[in-house]
Amino acid sequence: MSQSTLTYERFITESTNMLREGKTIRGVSVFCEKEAWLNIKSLIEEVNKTRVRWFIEFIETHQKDFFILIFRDIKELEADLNFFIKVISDEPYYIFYVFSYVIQDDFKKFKSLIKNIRNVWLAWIGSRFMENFTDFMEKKFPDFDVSLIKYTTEYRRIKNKEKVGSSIHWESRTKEDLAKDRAYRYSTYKELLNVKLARYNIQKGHISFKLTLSDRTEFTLESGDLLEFLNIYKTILDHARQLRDSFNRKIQINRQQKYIKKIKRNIERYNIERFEMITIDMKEPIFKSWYNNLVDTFSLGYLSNFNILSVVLEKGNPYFLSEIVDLDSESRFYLSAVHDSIRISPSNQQTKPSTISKIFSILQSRVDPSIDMSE
Amino acid sequence: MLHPHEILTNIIITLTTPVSTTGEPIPSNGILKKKLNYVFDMEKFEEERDAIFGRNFHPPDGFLRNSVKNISITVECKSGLDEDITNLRDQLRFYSENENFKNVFIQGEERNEILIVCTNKCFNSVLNVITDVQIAKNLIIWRVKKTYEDKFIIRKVYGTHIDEELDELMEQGVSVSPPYNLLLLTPNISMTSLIGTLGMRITANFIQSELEIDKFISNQNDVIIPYQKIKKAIEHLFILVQEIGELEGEKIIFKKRPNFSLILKKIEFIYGLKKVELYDFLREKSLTEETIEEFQRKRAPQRRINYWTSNNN
Repeated sequence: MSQSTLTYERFITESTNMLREGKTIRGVSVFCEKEAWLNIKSLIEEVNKTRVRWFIEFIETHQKDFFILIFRDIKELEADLNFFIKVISDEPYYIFYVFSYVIQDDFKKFKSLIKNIRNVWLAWIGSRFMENFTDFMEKKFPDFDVSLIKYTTEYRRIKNKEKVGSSIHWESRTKEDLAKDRAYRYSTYKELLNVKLARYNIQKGHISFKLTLSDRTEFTLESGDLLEFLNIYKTILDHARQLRDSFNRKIQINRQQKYIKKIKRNIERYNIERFEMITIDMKEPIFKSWYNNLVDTFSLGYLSNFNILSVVLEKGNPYFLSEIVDLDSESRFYLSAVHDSIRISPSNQQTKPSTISKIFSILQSRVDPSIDMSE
Repeated sequence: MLHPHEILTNIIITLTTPVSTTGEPIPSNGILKKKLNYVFDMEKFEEERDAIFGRNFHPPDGFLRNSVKNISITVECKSGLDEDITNLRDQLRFYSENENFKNVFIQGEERNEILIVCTNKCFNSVLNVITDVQIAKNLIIWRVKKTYEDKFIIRKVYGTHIDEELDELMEQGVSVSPPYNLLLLTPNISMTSLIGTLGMRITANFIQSELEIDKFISNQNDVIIPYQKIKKAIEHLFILVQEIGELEGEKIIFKKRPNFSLILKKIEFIYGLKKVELYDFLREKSLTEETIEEFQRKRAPQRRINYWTSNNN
């Protein structure tokens, strides 16, 4: 089996020089369940069986956290495509950065591979993060000047989430304008609007770079300084991790027994160590009718599009409480709503991020389009 | 960022050793290894070297060995920068006449010749020296020209190799793309280059909060430099570039918000320092942006030289 003698350090040093010379580097962050990572070679072999043009080779280096993925053109019409993988973390799941010097169209080949492997997915930061990226940079990296050059929005049907279209905007609009546009699309065309891709100009002293960022943490960096960028990207990934972890809500309840002399009996005391909850602020919704929309939607009992069961526990005043059971993953949540907020909390010991994602999808499409997971 | 001398050394290593680069992660053997069985050879021998030759001895930049034909080539790279041409006469005499040198470096009945690899810029100076010096060894010059981006053409321009096949190949010339960064495969790497190279590699690890020095060194698969010399260079690095973080025992603790532009500026500055200047800064235990600017102001403005295309001296 081929082995590379390249090291992560030499890759970064070479890349720093290559970027200075005007080359463009692309990359993305990938999350991966432990089991999938440990079997990555056999999973790639499986994918190779279905490929007719590109053969994928997983190359090890002598560093345990640095790998290279090579897409070889079987017909030898095109040059190899190299993707460099640096493992950032292995607990509780694997996270890795993927870098490449290939063109945008060839980078899609890597993303298509990810789609074909179970329990491996691109990190997600969401539309709201993209919309607020300049504020994020101002807060976290005040030394940098960031300006939005252009952004791409995507429209999807509320009913089946089918993509309707996309448009590129060269003028930066205010957040209020974007919210108005979102409300207009929602009520007039029954479409959801999300920012998918944005291009920023980032400047710090004499260093300047152009960054294109997608809502799945995919980046394209033209010129500039790789280390400075990785420092920013590390913080973006932290946000993606927080989002991912917040979907994996847990309850941890400790039980203690205590003997009470007076009644001559043991009693059990419960101590809630961890009970994580998501609160969605509804003080500035797009639609005033959001509360009624929520009650109507979750009173249906079974939501067939999502394979979700909603059991209403309480209603009124205004207060709504239901237990949501995801029939695909068996994870359960409590969903509650009052006049200015919605709360989602776990109702079994450990819940699956996919269920939260489903709940948000329902809230966004049927309750109010302003609701977003990344808030 | 690389010094022309280091680019020349990188070229020789790339011609004879499988080197993985970002552009070519699966290394293929260099053309001289693949076609003619020449390998780059440089043993880790610093301690013994000092005992045999004394501390001022500088070994050649490497050896090319062909065990099939029993030929060895002593390689000396010349960029024309600093004082390296003035030393050439003494170096050539030493490599051809010193018995200790022959005993240590030339194996058995090997036929040995001396190869000077030079930039276009200093070709005439090198030629003047070797036509003047009288030595018994076979002398050859390879001239290196940069073509475009990171590609170099290397061609034999003086002398005749003992090996006819090598002579023919190098007469035609070969094209090579050396790695962008310095490989730590040369024993006589300058302390400034070593600090700079290690500085870049250590900084590349900032995405972790800390780094074990031993683990870092063992992760560098191209190191033939003695461990103590590397540790010394790391200590020097953290005296001069404190923006990276701190040394705590056997660990490097990275700063939470490193100022990369200043780090890179300092590393680049260290690369360009002379040995004496480096030790001056180390004695003062400080290197600030202001001192760099002051130093650069004081230093006589240097003519921008193109080592790879200019023929002028």
